[in-house]
Amino acid sequence: MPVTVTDYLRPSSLKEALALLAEDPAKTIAVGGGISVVLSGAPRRVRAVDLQHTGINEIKKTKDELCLGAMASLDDLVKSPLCGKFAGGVLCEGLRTAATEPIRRLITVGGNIVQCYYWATLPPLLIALDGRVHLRSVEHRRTVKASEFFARPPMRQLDRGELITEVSFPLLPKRVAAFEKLAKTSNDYALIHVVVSYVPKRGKVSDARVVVAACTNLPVRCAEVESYLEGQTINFAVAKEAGQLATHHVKLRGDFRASSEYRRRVLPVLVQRALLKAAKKQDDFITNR
Amino acid sequence: MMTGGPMQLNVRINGVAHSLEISPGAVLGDVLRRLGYTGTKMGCREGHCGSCMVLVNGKPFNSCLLLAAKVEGAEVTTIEGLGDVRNPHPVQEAFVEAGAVQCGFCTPGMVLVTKALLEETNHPSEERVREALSGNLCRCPGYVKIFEAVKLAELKLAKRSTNGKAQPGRPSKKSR
Ligand SMILES: Cc1cc2nc3c(=O)[nH]c(=O)nc-3n(C[C@H](O)[C@H](O)[C@H](O)COP(=O)(O)OP(=O)(O)OC[C@H]3O[C@@H](n4cnc5c(N)ncnc54)[C@H](O)[C@@H]3O)c2cc1C
Ligand code: FES
Ligand code: FES
Repeated sequence: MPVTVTDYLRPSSLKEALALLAEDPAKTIAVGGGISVVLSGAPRRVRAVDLQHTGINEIKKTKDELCLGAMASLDDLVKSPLCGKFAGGVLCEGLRTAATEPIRRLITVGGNIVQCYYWATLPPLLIALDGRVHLRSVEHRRTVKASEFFARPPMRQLDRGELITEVSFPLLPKRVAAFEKLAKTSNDYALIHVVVSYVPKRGKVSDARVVVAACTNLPVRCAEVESYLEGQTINFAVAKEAGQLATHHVKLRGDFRASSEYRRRVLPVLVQRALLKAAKKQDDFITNR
Repeated sequence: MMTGGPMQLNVRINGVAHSLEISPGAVLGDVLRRLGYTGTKMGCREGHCGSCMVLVNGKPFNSCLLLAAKVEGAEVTTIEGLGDVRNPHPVQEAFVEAGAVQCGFCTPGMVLVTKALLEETNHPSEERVREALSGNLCRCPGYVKIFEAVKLAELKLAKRSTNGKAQPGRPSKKSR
């Protein structure tokens, strides 16, 4: 195994974990589900600090936020009634497509967003739903908007000895959202992720978020598409145009899973589908009121 | 402050308490196989095939991805803990009777996931069966017979409970 774990520490509180990380930050790593520790290709000798018993796995709703502890697993989220009710269920719908059920039991919120492989499922959902990332070290606490957190590789966003303790989403009851994933099988790594969300105002789009991932190195918001959508009523033609715009403004990656040409052909269809799905949810919302 | 060297792991495997010395970065699958639980197969070692699946506190986990240190205090069930040729578990019987076994490499994982699924719900929908088994690949008989085996296992377990026999052991509530 390329990563050699020299010591495996199991702190029983967050304070203890932060202190252990601060002792020797260069040679100490946090362990969420531990998948990347097992599969990592980087030959290193590290001290592992397992966050399993540090009490940061809670999923809770406050007056104005949905908060997900960094050690909650993706399976915990998929099965959580609080997550199920949030944003029309889009969080659970999206996360259910990540890996397989036993692997979702291992993947943690913190590990997923720090590692942020290009196919990662939670990062585009966090951006599209205005999420925030809460960080803490021995010395300080800070909160970063998801769109800023993923603007460069998250590993480089963390200060030495810093941990993610939680991510949170504002409760926006009127926001509609939809998720699309393209992969070769239902639980394979994504080739493209699209997440859209907006607030319908008298049938028209306002405050849109169009996030594209897996076909880019990091998840990105498509500002051109979002401003095009502002004030529009979503119909087939508008959704199609939005899809075309997305391919023109996003730098697409090519790799052994799919070429950039292939992704360029498929991305507009996924953006179009996601927008039409969101519009359908908006209609259902109005009819069921 | 690095010390290196082995660490202690206290775990119950198939109902028996073990106190083991393990390497801090070892994965559970390797630890189990070294102890002789070779029914746990190591295939891809990357989370793709599911042949390494074991139950931890009753829930399926890929033992090739799971750091052994994470199962401190837990109850681990391998295929050897279910039954043997003389006294097979109803899920094992169902797989044999449905012809869902050819080379058998995937079978321990398939059987364990099926056991966990039928303990979660005694009448899963087809969609739920597909979701639960989607992390287990089989390259031999194909999936139709495996899905038939799950149905048959469901019937066998239902019959067993109406006949008043004890249900297979429930997973402990203790979290991982
Ligand atoms: C076959 C397979 C399929 C997969 N498919 C998907 C998929 O479709 N979608 C998807 O999103 N993921 C998928 N994954 C998981 C993904 O590839 C990563 O392995 C996973 O997200 C890592 O999560 P973890 O909790 O195990 O993190 P870990 O391996 O524990 O940690 C990852 C990194 O984050 C750091 N870290 C962990 N927690 C914290 C914290 N709280 N604060 C600061 N740093 C922290 C660690 O030090 C490490 O550097 C898949 C994995 C496999 C094996
Ligand atoms: S060996 Fe674990 S999933 Fe293949
Ligand atoms: S029986 Fe051979 S792989 Fe499934």
